[in-house]
Amino acid sequence: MTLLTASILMPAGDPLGCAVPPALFLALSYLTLTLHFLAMNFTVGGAILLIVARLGKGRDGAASVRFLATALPLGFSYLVTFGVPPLLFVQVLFGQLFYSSSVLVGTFWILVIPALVLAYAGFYYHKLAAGSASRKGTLVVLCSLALMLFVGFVYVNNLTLMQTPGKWLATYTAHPGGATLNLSERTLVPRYAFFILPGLVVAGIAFVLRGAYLDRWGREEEGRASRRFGARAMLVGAVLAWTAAGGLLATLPAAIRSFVLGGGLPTGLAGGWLALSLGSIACGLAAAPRKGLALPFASALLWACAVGCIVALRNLVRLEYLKGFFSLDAMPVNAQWGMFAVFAVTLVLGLALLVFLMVRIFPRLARRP
Amino acid sequence: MNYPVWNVDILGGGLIVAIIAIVHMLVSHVAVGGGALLAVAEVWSDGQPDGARIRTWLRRFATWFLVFTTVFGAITGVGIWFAIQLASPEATSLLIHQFVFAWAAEWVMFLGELTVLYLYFYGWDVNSRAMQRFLAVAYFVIAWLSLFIINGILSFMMTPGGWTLENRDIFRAFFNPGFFPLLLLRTVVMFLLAGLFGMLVATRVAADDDLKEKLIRFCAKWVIPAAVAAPLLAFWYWTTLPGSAVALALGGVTGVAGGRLEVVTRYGLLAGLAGALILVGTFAMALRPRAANTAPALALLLVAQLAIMGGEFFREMARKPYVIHGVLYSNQLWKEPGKAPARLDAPYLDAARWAPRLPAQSPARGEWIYRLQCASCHTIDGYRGLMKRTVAWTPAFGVRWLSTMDTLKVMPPFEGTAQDREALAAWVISLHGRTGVKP
Ligand code: HEC
Ligand code: HEM
Repeated sequence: MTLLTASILMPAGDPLGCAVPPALFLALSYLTLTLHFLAMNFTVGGAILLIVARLGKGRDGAASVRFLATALPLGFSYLVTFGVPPLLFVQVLFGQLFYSSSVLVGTFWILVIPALVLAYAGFYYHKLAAGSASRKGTLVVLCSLALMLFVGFVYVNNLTLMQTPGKWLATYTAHPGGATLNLSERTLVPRYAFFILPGLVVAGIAFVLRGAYLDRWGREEEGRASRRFGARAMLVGAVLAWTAAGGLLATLPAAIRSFVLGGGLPTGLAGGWLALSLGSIACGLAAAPRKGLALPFASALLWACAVGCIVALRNLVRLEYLKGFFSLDAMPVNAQWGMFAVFAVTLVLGLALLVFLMVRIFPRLARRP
Repeated sequence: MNYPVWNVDILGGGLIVAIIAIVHMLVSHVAVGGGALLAVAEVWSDGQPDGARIRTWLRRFATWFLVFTTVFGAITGVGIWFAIQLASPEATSLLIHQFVFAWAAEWVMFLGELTVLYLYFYGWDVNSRAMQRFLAVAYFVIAWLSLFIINGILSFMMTPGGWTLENRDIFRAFFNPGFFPLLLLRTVVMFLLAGLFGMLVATRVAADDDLKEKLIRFCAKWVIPAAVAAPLLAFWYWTTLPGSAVALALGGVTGVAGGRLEVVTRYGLLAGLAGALILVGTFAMALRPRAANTAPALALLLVAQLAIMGGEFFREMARKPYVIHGVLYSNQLWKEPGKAPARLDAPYLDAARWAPRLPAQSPARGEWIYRLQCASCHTIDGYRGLMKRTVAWTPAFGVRWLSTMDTLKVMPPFEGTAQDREALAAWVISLHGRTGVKP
């Protein structure tokens, strides 16, 4: 498909324009998408570890199962909650692209919804109804995991199709009902792996942190086991993620690859990711044999920053893919500062209430045996 | 045509939106009303001699409530976004761009609602009574505020009021003529649903227990006044509808079953019947609470679901042919010709972005016109199937029909030239196995 056809196809931007300068939406999107990825990774990785813990025997296993049985529904809830703002902002900023590609894969896109309901219900079933030793419990978690992996896969398909408008018309002509995916995309598999596999790292960090707290509460035996288990998961996850990153770089179109590696901000973000992720893993491994909260928290913070780098880089790469078809600078701004202020005040009040409540309730919850 | 049209066989995109929306309406209203019930029951239980036992029941209610609202409520809410974005990208884009910060504020409520609910539920054994009461009340207030916000956006679609694309006046858009009647109607309906949901959970208490009687009567008090008030508020809303929608509802259209039946009669009957059933059922349960069991309680909830379905379909039908009344048609054609990417009387496919380049005489032209202009409301032989509706078509009749289709008031005007009409008519006729020879 030629450049020309793709630019004819590109839908016109919304007549209402952008409600605040795009940079502000981008900033909000980076922040919330980072939280989305962290919660998503925790839940996917946690589901894998839950299966590992259920299959393994022993006391530590049972305690881990109980921990994850409660944590995973919460993780799921927040992965959805933190997916909502980026979903809003991607439509504000990239609506033309995002609506088009979503319709093109419409059948799979809508199937995300029942998949989410079933996966989420599965985690609650596991917590509330499945006996801790039952086979059924393991099977249910396995189904929830598979459904989540499906959802992630559909997202990667949609978001890669979104940035390659050259493929749109042929895709639509062949499947006007949307029963297709973007499987011809070379970066698809490494990209998917790159976003999903860090799940083991994030769930690993959660175990290291949990171990550190168990120590504090005088349950040292369990604490050590949890830290070790977590550190091992982190290492495995990170090695897989670094490998996937290599695969992703190798499959990127040459022009995009040189954009990423050719210096400047993109290279800084890529390098930042590598350095921060190495630092995070180092802290996690160092925390395994030791007590104390500092190393686990450092590990978590470094990893969160690493994800932040990727979230920003990912968007720069998207804009680079779209060069010539689409630019955020071209979007008119019809400012709604009043509404922005309403939102900002709501956000500040809401967060203040939540922080106030959590500060009062968490210490009591944590002290519960 | 800015966006591709999602061509869903058998069901059609619109029906998929409706299915998800109907489930979400039920669950989200239970979520807000249930919050009120939790808050009131928290306070009420403190003054009762058997308060501790009531709270044991309340914990059970909260468990079901938590799973039901977070799993089904949150995900179907996201689901509506997915579905409308597929079925009407242009309209979704307009709503998102106009109301982005209303939605962002709505998200803050969503985050608050969830977190407060978790703190309430998981903190059950460690929180003080005062804290639990505070959390329950806070949950309700936040959840109701989220209803307040989303109501502004939803009611806007039917009655945009003084808003126009040019003035982009968000205040008038948000507090549009339908805002207050719908807000009250939704508030009342959510009390009703919360009461029904509470009765359902209360039927699980042992029949020989006084507590069961007490709980069911407590819940019935939520249902009965609401069931009486809802029709009055619905009538108030009716008076704010645009004239064309009222005319459409009173005038009726050719029904799915073939016969002509006024839309308002059809859905009015459904809603009336549902309301009466709920009233009678709830009275019966309140009179013999010990005998109440789960199946009828569940049935009442399903009846309420039917009534919501009636309401949703009514809204959809009364808004035809628009998604945003007076502004944007359901098939993504703007009412103002100046906003339309293609002009009404210009060759259609040349200006439509999402069609392959077809030779002038190609029979596929008709199919592509159908796909881009009709498929957002019709399917070929499923929901609102075109086959059934065009049995009698001849090429000449088809062309004539297409030039006046908007006079039926439920469809937008045809976009395109005489050749485009011929191509579409020929393709429609070829569906019936007849040849599509040009007239
Ligand atoms: C806004 C949604 C919408 C669009 C777009 C639309 N229709 Fe319709 N159409 C309806 C509704 C609603 C009815 C009436 C109810 C019914 O028949 O189910 C209807 C009825 C019909 C009927 C039966 C009319 C009768 O009097 O029996 C035909 C034929 C028809 N449409 C053809 C088309 C064709 C061809 C197109 C595309 C050019 C089209 N429609 C576009 C909504 C739409
Ligand atoms: C099990 C559930 C989920 C998984 C595994 C998952 C996974 C992912 C992955 C892998 C990506 C990156 C895709 C890429 O860049 O190629 C992504 C992006 C995204 N996710 Fe999720 N996701 C899940 C649920 C959700 C939900 C429920 C929402 C919305 C409510 C959501 C909103 C988003 C958005 C908006 C983006 C892209 C943002 C952007 O590009 O600006 N996700 N998700």
